[in-house]
Formats: sequence, structure tokens, C-alpha cells
Amino acid sequence: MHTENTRHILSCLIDDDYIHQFGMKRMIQRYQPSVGVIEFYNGLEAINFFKTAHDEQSIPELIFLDINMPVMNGWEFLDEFVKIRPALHKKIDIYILSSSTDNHDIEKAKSNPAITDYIVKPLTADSLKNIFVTTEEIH
Amino acid sequence: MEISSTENAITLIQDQNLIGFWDWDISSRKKYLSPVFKTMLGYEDDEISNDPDTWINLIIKEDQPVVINSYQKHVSSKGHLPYEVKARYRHKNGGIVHILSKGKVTDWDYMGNPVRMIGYYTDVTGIIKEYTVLEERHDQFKTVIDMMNAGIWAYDIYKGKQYWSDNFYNAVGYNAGEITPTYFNLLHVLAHPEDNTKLVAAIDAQIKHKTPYALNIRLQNKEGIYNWFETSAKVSYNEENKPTKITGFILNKKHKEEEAQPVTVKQEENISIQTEKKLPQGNFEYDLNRAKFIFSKEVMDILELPEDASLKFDRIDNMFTEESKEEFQKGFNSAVYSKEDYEIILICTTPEGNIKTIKEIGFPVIDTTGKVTALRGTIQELSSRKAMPSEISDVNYGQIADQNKRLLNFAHIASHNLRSHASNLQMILQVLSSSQSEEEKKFCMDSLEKISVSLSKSISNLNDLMAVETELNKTKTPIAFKDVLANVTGTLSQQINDTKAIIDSDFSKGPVVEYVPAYIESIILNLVSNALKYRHPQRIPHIQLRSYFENGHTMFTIKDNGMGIDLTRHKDKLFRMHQTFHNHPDSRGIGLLITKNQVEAMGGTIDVESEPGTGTKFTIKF
Repeated sequence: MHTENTRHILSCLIDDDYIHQFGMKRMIQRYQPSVGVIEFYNGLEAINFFKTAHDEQSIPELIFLDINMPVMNGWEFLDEFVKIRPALHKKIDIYILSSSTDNHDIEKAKSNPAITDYIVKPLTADSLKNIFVTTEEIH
Repeated sequence: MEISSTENAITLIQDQNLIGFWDWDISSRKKYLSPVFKTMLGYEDDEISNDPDTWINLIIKEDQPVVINSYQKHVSSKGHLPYEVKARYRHKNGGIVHILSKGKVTDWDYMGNPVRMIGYYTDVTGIIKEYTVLEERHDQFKTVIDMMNAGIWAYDIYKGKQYWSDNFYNAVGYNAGEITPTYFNLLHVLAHPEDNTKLVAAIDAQIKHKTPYALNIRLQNKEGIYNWFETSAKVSYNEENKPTKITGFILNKKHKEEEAQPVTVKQEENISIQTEKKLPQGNFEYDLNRAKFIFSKEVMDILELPEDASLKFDRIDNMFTEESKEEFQKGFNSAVYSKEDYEIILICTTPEGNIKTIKEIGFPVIDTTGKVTALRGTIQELSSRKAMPSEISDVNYGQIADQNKRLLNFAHIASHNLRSHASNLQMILQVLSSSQSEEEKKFCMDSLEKISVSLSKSISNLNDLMAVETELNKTKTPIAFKDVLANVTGTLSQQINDTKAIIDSDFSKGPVVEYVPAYIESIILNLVSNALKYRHPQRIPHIQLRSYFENGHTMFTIKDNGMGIDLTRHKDKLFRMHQTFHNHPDSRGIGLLITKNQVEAMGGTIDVESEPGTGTKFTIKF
């Protein structure tokens, strides 16, 4: 886990792919230097973090969530996350970031109100910028 | 005048010793026997008394009950049933005289009891003798027929009964009674499928148009070998010119069929005009013990089955509609439980996607203990047409749906796998292009190398997966589990030594499975290597492999004492791509998917039981 919580928007990456994590982190740092990044390599690590995070500053506004992960996958993370979400007292946007083009996954994401959008990897610089613009407007 | 002429006639008859009268006064137990009767038996008139006891004792013992019985029937029916009885009497010289006696009760008392009965005797010895001569002639004919080595068959059209002579049985290589003499057995069991239609046509033409025929046909003997026979038959007609009976013979042609061929061809031409279009037809046998069919080449063609198709009951049964399955069950039951022949119409969808209507005629094969061991008979194609998509049978539909599911799954796996690498590539290149720091550039280069390695790994995984689909048509061979395990432990010897794993196996209850060799090895290798990989950190791996036979299927189980899987959470995803449940660096997340594909592609199932921290057990039904 790595945090840079001095910026005013904090984003959270949950993905088991180290290379993807690295690339995402670098892109965020390049295009949105003001955004902080925290990383988790599976759903369980992330949910454990949210369960213990009580400092409003350390809770991210944005989550980029992968679906296929070992130990606890994206869907399982969401199931757990909606239970603890009210306790976090913060508007959190969740973007599914997956390489799955399975309609089943896309439909499931679209019908889940907890999910802001479903993005098929890779996330381009333009869509990354748009996401942050939207997020900043809200917050 | 009239009276006297009648008396004359009677005297004449008496003098000729043709008819002897009797007059029995039942109440006084007196029986008048005319001198003629006594003469018939070689006695003078006064040599024997007239009481009924004397008379009855003249009849030989065996025939006395017949005479008494006929009398009783006549009396109890108040004379409606005639008294008419043929009996053997003892001649004075010890010989036998056949006498026909007819009589009638003429007086009855008020209680309805017989008072007087009169009748006459005729000596029928001559007629009987003539009959004996006939019998002798018959014997002579029979001898001649025996010498010709001809087998006789007869078919009673009204009774539907078939008769085969001993010679007939000999000619077709059976012992008398070993195969039931039925028209069906003649046409569908003994006769060669190519010959029976022309035989039916010939018999039909003989019955309807009295067309004489002489055919050369092939009949199958008990060993299944066809021999050539000349056969001919003639229909007998009753007074109303209705056919009653067909009698025919079969004569072994030995090796003469070549000479006879031209005649046969001509006959066949004649007959084929009367025959409807020939329908494909062949023989089948169903072995009850092995639950397996045996089909002749013709039936394989009708059902469009490849040469190496599995002829197990389930596989074949699955080609048929639900109604047809029931129909077959009925036929099966009547053959097995009532030991009766059956004839059923069935509808099936062939592997080529044609809908065929077939007629199956079958009969039970009964062993010496009276047990039905098999069904045998013929299958004839009545019609065939291309199946409409909506008509594809449930099973075929199921198979196609399964295959589609696997292919779709494969497409997703392929797309997902390649996409994740592609997106990583894209991302790293993007970072690299704008990177200022040498350190970051180096990291990017390392990442690109890693991506290329995992990309080729993914492609090889996908190849493995795709191979399951494309190798489906590979031939199955019987494989011993023992041998497979030996190969697997050889491949995994390093891991087994490192982990000090104990592998114990017992394949005695199902030592062999018929499978694609590469599959079975891959399946067992995968499961054993999983058991080693996901061993419990505090335990020496103990892996138990078992095989056994259950409900006609070979079963295989592998049980370990490893980490286990939380099935309440993971069961539905266990066999999916990239599902790894342990944060384990070696998890490829593809092994179980390939295993599942290799099992399901061959029509089997794989199931799992597991408890986290205790172990996992996989059960495969082949």
C-alpha cells in the first residue's frame, strides 16, 4: 500500500496486475499530478483498508476496480464495500476497469447503482482526464 | 313291398359284413349285437354273450375311456352331441380291428334317463390301413427330401404359425427349437438383408397371383455365416380359393450359386417390379450385459454414425426423441420380460443433423437357462430429411449449447487475456514516450519484457485450451490409470521429492478407462500438480487417487489434504479462466478450466468437494 495523501483528490487502484498498477500510477501522476494514489492488489486488501480507515482525509474519492483478481474479486469487493460504505460518509465514485468484454460483466456493472461506469482497459489519457474533471466538479 | 326292399338292402349290407347293428336295452342291461359285428371280430353268433360287459371288454383297454366318454357326452347332451367313436377291438385271433361305431338314444324315460339306444358298427380297418400306407408314402417322401437335404418350412396363414422341419434347422445350422420358427425369424434373422425383400415379394406374388418362384437367397447360420439356398414355395388354397398355407423348401446350394446366378438375376428383375423402392436396412444386436449395441454396416450408415462411434446404450439412446425412447423401452420390456418379438417405429436425429424415421423389429435372444441375454433384429430406414433448426433434438441441442458455451467462454478468455496484455503494452509505451527519468525508462523496458513473456504464455495457454476443442475427434483407446499415474509422477518427480508428498492409489475397482490418451494424462497431471501446489503449509501432502465403476461409468477421484477452497464463495467460478483463489505466485488460473473442458468435451462431468484448511476432493465421471 502506498499513499500520497497531501493532494485534494485521492484515487484508489485495485488490481492484481503489477504492470497495470505501475502504468496507471504513472499516468495519473503525469496528467493529474495533484491526485494521490493508493494501491491494492486484490479486493480483500482494499476492503480491509476501508474497514479500518476512519480519517476522512485518507479515504479516496475515486476507485478503479478490476474484476478478475485472486482471493477476492471485484464483484465480491463490491458486495462487501456497499455494507461499509455508509460508515465512510463520503461520496466515492467507482469505475470498473477491466479487460473483460463479457456482456455479462458489463450488464452487471451497468445495473449496479454503486458503479459509476464500466471502462474496458486500457484507460486512455483522455478518458482519465474526463474522469478527474467529473470527480472534481462533484467534490 | 317297401319294407321288404329295405329289409333286402339291410340283409345285403349284413351279408357283405359291412355293417353290424346293435340294439342296447339300457334298463335291462341287454345289448343285442348283430352276427355281423361278431363276424368282424372272428366270432360265431353264439360264441359271445350279448351283455354290455362282454362287449366293452372286446375293446382294447386304451380305447375304452374314449367310447365311454363319447356315450356320456351323447347322453348328457340329451342326444345333441352325436355318439360317434372309433375304437380298436380285439379280434379272436389276437389282431386289431378298427371299428367305427355310431349310435343314438331312441327312448328316454320321464326322468330323462336313456332307455334304449341303437346303432351300427363299421369295420374301418381298411381305411386305417390306407392311411398307414399314406404315412408310409409320406415317410418315403421324407427320405427323399432328407437325401436331397432339403429343409421344409410351412406357414399357416390363418393361425400365423410357422413350421420348420429338422432338416431346415440342420441346413441353417441350428438345433431344432433353438430358434423359434416364425415368419419374422425366417425373414429378418436368417435371411440376408439384401435378400429378404425379394423373398417377401416372391411369397407375396405367389399368394396373390400364384406366381411360381425359385429364388437363390442367403441364410445366416448360427455362426453368422451366410450360405446360399435355393428356395421355392407353394400356397395351398381352401374351397373358397382363399390361401390357407404356404409350404416351401430350402435347398443348400453349396457352391453352385455361380451357375445359378443368371436365373436369379432374371427372377430378381421380375420381382423388383412388384417390390416398392428398397429401403436401407441392416441388423442390430443389443447386448444386455454390456449395455452396448452392435450394428451392421447398413445400420451404421442409416444412423450416420462414424465407424468408431461409441455404441453404448446412453449414446445411442440420446439420438432419439423422448417418445422414441419410451417406445424403445416398451419394445425392450416386451422382449426381455415377455420374451416376445416387437416392432416399433422410432425417430432419431443423426450426428449429421438428419431426422430419420426407422422401423426396428427385434426379438429376444434367450440362453440355455431361459435368460434373455440380448435383443436382435433389423433396423430399416423409412424416411430421412434434413432437420430444421427448431427440430434439433434436445440432446443435440444440449451438445451444441455446451459447445457454444465453451467456445464463447474461450472467446472471452482469449479476448480478456490478450486485451490485458495489449492494454498494458499501450500503457507502458505511453509512459515510456513521455518519460524523462532513466530509472523510469529502465522500469518500462523491464515491464515490456515481462509483458511479452506473459503474452506468449497466454497464447500458449489459449492454444492448450483450443486444443481440447480441436482434438475432440481423436480416437479413444483403453488406458490403464496405473500407467497414466506413472507418467504423471515421472513428470512431477521434482515437486513430489521436494514436498515429500505421499501419493497413494487404488485403481483395482476400475483399472481402465476408454479415453483420449493425451487428455487423461493432462487431466490427472493437472489435478495432481494442483494438489501439490496448493498443499497445506504445515502438512506433508497426502494425495489419494481412486477409480471405480458406477452406473456404467468409470469414476475417478483425487483427494488431498491441502489448503482447500471456500466453495460457498468460489464454486461457480472454480473452473473459470483466471480464477485463482489463493494468492499464490504459481497460480495460472487456467488449469482447472482446461481440465473441465477435457472432461466435458468427452461427455463427462467434474465435481468438487472442499473445505478450507482440510483439503479438496475432485470427482470425475467419464
